[in-house]
Amino acid sequence: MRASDMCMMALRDLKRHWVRTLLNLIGIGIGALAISLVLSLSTGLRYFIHHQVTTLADPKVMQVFPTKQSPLSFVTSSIIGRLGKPPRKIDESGGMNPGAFNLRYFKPSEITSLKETPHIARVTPGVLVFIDWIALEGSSDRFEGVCIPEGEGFKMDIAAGRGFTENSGREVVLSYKYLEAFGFKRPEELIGKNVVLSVTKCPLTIGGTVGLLERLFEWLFKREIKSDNIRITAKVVGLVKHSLLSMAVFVPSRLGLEIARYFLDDPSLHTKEKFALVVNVTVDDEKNIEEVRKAIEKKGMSCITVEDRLGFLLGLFFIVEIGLGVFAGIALLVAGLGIGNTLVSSVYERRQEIGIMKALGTRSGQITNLFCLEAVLLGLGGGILGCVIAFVLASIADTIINLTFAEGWGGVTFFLFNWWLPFLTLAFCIGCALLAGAYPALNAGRLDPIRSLREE
Amino acid sequence: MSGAKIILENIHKRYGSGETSVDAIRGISLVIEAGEFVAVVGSSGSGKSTLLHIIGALDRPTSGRLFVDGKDISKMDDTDAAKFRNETVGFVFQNFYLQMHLTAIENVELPLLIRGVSPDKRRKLAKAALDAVGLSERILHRPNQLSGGECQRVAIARAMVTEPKILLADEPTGNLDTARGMEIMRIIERLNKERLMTTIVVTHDSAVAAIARRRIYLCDGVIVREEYAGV
Repeated sequence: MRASDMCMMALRDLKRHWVRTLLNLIGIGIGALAISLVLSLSTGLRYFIHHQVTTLADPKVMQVFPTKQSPLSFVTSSIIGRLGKPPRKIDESGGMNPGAFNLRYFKPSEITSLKETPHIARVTPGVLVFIDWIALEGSSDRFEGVCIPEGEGFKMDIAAGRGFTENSGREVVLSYKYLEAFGFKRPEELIGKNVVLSVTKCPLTIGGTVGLLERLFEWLFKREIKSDNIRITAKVVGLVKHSLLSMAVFVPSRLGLEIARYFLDDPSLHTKEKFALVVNVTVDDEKNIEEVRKAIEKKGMSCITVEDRLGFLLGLFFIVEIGLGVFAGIALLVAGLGIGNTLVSSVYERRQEIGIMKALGTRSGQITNLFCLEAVLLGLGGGILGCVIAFVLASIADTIINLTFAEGWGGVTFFLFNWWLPFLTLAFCIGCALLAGAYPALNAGRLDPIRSLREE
Repeated sequence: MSGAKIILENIHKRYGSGETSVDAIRGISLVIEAGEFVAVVGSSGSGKSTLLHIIGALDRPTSGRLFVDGKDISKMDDTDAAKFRNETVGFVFQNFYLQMHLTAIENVELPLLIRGVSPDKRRKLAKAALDAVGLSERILHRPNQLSGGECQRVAIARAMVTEPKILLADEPTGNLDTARGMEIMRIIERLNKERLMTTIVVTHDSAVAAIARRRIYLCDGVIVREEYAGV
């Protein structure tokens, strides 16, 4: 039998039972829709996370800790394990309790050793700063803000104005969203104006943790804890592009140090004796990151690179992806069972037809192929239907998201349809349909022609 | 075009096993010459249809051998048996067994479609076959738009379209009135004469059997008598 004739026969049989065919197509279509949306969302979000992290974080900067294990890897492995990787050996001073992580200041000799490491261009103290609020000078409207000192590993992607210079002191670069918050329309209206940063002294603390607990206490018991407070006036010199860091208040490293010393009430902080708990190491070239990491770990220290943070985020996202994938898979499986059920009834109804075909010389294999082809056509049709609907829905969803949540981000694609996605979805659908259709198709091929002919 | 010589050697057919088994055919040996027109006559359950199915490779004998033009078809596998049915045999059944969703010409085209003949060629051959049975005016009708006699003529055209060496007809007049039945038998007789194919008609009707030149009488799975026309 010619392939084209077999296709025509299969299509004719599907058309003959068009209601059943339509229901099957809808079933498979829903499965394909779910698979397409999950895959495109997963691809889009992965790309988005990757793009955001690599856009915001400077890939040449890594955070170095004086201990063998970094807090990120420590906390990650303590909570979610090592995501399929084998357990690592722990030395005597270590342990799995996140609270057991040993924070300590860098020794001057360690800083010197770091500075002497090949490919390390710059070593600056990791500065921990918090501001209470930010306001335009002369205005009573206060806004929340995340203070990020320059050199902390975040890139300032300047959209308007300029970044910091070597002599920058009391200057800030703000997120573009502050333009809207402060009630301006054009960047030029904000650039050049002064803003006030409020910083509260949090004594007793190391790392400001106790200061945060104080805030919590205050909130819980509505009792005001008296604490000192300073106001720092700084000039807005630039705005950074739209990103996830919509509350970013970038400050020069010098101003960052000033705020940190006041915030932690420790004038000796970030001096030679008490350099830092964590340092930011800038590598001369991105490609030397791994070499520098090895050298740092050889010195008994640990580090976190942009890739590590990305890996951590994508690792967490992977768990979500698995969950979504399972739901989509179940949808397709149910649709597959529908096809199986349809073909089983179809074989039952068409036993006499099969008998006639066999009497006229059709081979068992050709009968099996014919039913398999019907299953494939159902899978293909449903898959195409699902892909097209998914593409339309995804485009609508992307448009809505870009008009609301991601407004002003310059068009973000959350549902990313790569060229391979429809092919993969169709392969899933056809595979599922074929799997479901295999049993009835084989049964059809095995039917005895004489018995089949006697069926009414 | 010519028919095929059929030789049956001690053919047995048993259905089921143990105490419930039934012997449908019990040691039939027979030679049917190429181009011969044979009627197999017997009452219901005599084994005549089973014999026809075995000759047409729709069924296999439990024991014994069957040769068609010298080739043993009793040991054929499913694939070869299907090829044999498509290329060598044409079947006509009592219930016509037409595909109800296809038109007359599409039904006739089916054996050619299975064989892999191109659409143009099979349409041409199917038209000629329908013309040969006098149905050229009704080629686009579906079976439910045709009378019983017309349906059987479509079935005969379908059996003839591949120019088989053997035509096997299982009670071809069973669902027709006497006049239509005789009409069908005359068509079969004419085709046998024109195309010289070996023709075996199974019937319980002596008037139908009388058209054949040779009549084989079966009872309980064995041949009880043979007759030749005019002898």
